Amino acid sequence: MVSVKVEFLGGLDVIFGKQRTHKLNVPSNSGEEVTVGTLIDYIVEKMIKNAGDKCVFIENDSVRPGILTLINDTDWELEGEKEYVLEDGDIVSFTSTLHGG
Amino acid sequence: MTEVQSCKRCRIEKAVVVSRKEPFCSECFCKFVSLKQRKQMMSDQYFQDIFKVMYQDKVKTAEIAEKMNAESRVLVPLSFGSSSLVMLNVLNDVLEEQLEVHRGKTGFSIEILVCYFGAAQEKSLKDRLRALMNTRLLKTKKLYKIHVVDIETFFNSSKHIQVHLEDTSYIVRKINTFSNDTGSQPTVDVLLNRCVNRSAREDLLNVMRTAVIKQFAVQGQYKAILWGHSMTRLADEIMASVVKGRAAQIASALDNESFDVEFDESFKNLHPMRDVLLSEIDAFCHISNLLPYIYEYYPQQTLLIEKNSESGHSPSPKMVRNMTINELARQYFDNIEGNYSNVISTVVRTGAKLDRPLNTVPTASRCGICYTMLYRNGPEWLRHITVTSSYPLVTEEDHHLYSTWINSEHGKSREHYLELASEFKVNGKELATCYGCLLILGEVKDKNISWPESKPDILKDVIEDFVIDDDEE
Amino acid sequence: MSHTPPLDPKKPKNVKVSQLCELCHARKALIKRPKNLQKVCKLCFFHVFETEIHNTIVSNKLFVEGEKVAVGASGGKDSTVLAYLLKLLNERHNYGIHIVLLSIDEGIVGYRDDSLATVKRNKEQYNLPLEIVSYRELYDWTMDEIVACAGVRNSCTYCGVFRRQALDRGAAKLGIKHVVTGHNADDMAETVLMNILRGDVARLEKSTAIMTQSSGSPIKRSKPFKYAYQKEIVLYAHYKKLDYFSTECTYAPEAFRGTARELMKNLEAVRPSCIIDIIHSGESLRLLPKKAKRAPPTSHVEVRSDGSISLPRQGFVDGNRCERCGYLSSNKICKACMLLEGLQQNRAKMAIDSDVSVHGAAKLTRTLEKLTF
Repeated sequence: MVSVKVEFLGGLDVIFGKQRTHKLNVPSNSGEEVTVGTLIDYIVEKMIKNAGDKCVFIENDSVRPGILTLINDTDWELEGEKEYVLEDGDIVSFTSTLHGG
Repeated sequence: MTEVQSCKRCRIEKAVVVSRKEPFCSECFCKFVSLKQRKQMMSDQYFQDIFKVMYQDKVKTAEIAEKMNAESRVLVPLSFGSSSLVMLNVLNDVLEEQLEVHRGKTGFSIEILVCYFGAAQEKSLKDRLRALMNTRLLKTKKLYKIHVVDIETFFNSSKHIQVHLEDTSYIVRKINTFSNDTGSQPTVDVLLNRCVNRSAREDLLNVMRTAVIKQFAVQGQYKAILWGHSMTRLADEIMASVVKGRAAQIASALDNESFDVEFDESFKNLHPMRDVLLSEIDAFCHISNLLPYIYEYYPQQTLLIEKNSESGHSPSPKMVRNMTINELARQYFDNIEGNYSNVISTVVRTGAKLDRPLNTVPTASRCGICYTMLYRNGPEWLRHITVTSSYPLVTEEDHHLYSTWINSEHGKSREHYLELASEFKVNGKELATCYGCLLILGEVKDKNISWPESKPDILKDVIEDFVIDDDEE
Repeated sequence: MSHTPPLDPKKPKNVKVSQLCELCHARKALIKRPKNLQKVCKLCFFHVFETEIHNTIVSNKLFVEGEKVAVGASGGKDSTVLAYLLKLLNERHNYGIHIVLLSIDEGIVGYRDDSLATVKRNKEQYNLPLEIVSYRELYDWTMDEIVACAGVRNSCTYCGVFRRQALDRGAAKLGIKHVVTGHNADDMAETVLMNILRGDVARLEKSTAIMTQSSGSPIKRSKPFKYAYQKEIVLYAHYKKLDYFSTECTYAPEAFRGTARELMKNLEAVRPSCIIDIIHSGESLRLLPKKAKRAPPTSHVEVRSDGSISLPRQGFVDGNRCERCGYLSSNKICKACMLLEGLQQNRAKMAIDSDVSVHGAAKLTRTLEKLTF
């Protein structure tokens, strides 16, 4: 179990009950480490209420292109993406870059 | 229940294909494709002089007419994809008709060029070539000359250079190396293995193959190269060129009117299939049984009314990240074809309206990698829009981390790269390259490749005509 | 609604050498630049991003000292970052320009209300004057009414034409001759691809121009973010905790543009630099000299059954004025007036066809279209 904060920014909060910040306790799967991959599965399964909204967040099993994922303000590309092992107090933010400016 | 449609052209036969909303029987459909190709072959005086059978008239003597017929040699690069096979099929029909109508005379002769890479490909292509000549082209076999060339001949050059891209200034420099150093002869295989992704690999292979074919045409004094590109393929190329920063080269690539400026202005390029969609060419292959000759491709059946149950080995869908830019462009056109079928022709028509860009470089020069004309200074453009200086060190911690870095492997490997770069800076000369080739160099290991200093000498290694044995069967 | 800045993560501990910024080699890299794949730290990112915009402004001579400049402010990320940066660079490098925020109220309930609130906060945050011009006062139509009348599929066409004019008219009203907009590199690359896919030859050569001005028009337009990646703009706003509004326009983009956008995303995954590569291509697009044309241009506007209209294709002749509204136009009648004429015809038709109130229909369409990203 890891306790992290998750932010949905750039309009993504719409599919999460318009709430930007969520405090989560992410359980581990059979004692394995909790990775960002685990977190994403958790978000998709537990937090997206409307099944039709899942495609707004996820595509081909990963975060949709056009959504910027930061782990403690660092682009997740530099942290191993889904492989990153979460620690207590980590902040993971998802920002949509798609909408107009 | 499917309704039996009849062909809209002859109104008699059963339709087997629906193309551009029209049902065709097999004969009318093949005629339709064939006419589109023939129309391009008669597009201007130059090509009419090549393909028509010449006779004595008011301006030419019988000898001159004969000479014109004999000198009308065209080169057909054959990849054994669906397009080049269909093109050759129609060309062969033209030859057969001329033989019949003009009592043994033809207006032109075809020389086939097969360029292979690697032993496995060499065998597959030669097998198909034999099969093709001994079946489809049996009647006219004696009229063809056939050449088989190894792509490695690309490195047949007196001198080779090392080319290096400096990543902070985007400047490309070259250092001379001599090919007489035994063992240092660069090979296509080694070069391609240095590419960090499939796009760079495909682009380099394409540059080398194009150079081999065109240089062969220059040295063999052909009137024209006939490329099999379908309209769909040309649309892919146009989009991919735009995406690769190569839009400046589109006008030349589609130009069927001028002599090839990049290769000695000795021949013209013709795309006889530019009005035919790939789906139509593929349907043609199914209808006229060209499938056994096709190499590493299974023609689509989208236009066939009755699909073959055995759909061939449809390639498994690739991950986007592993696709090349050309493949993504093709995928885009495949996906939208249903909804916006005219997009492909729109793209090709738009591409054909493009002119060569205005020249902004002081002297006329060519890209040192792909030999295309240069219009702008790519490195300078990139330097203008990209800052690579750093923000000063601020805190104690910054200074501490910096000194750790300097003494680490990372610091040392950067130092190594900078040493390499400075060696090129001191001993090398700047090599002008086009923007697209800058991108390729950026996607090669160490941003460093071996390249021939000048265009390859294809005929240096005596390339014997490839002789097709008669089929024993 | 007020602004909540993003959370501050704890300070990184035990930074590994392999994680250091490739420019300063002294701070932890936070982002990978799509342009050249360099990994850079926050401070170096601010430095290169700001300097690149400054270089674009200087090398293209976008500003003249003493000039009044209107920032087309929508409250979205691009224009918010643009307003912030222009103010910063103007002070840092003494451009000597006077910046005004100029907003257009299209009249889209639920979308524009909230974004205008953001612009009003920006006005206070950056201490810049703000001017708002509405479609209602300019055209006597709100966007909601237009969509109800012409259908949601054409919303981008109408909005594009009307908004462009609205910015110019708003600027003219304020006596400002220069409008800057937040169009970024991604927008520009998408436009280049779209123009080729649609065969829009008239726009092909101009599509990557950083500054445009119709001859005889007093208003010039420029795009200082021409070479700036959307991703970096969002990151900049994030790290600087800028207050911007982000919701998809309630009227989703036309389907065809959607396919081009999808293609761009796939291309970016393969080669992130492709956005500037496409712009490089766009800058070298040039048309063959025109062959003599026949067929005189028609001034007839066809209103199709779905409410879309056909705009007669005509050669660009700059410097004319619209016969109806007097606004600068290449044609006899400007595009906005043509669209308005189409709308008027349709409104008359609708009034007879059904009794649904304009506002109600708009609401209905919006509900149906909601949440299409």
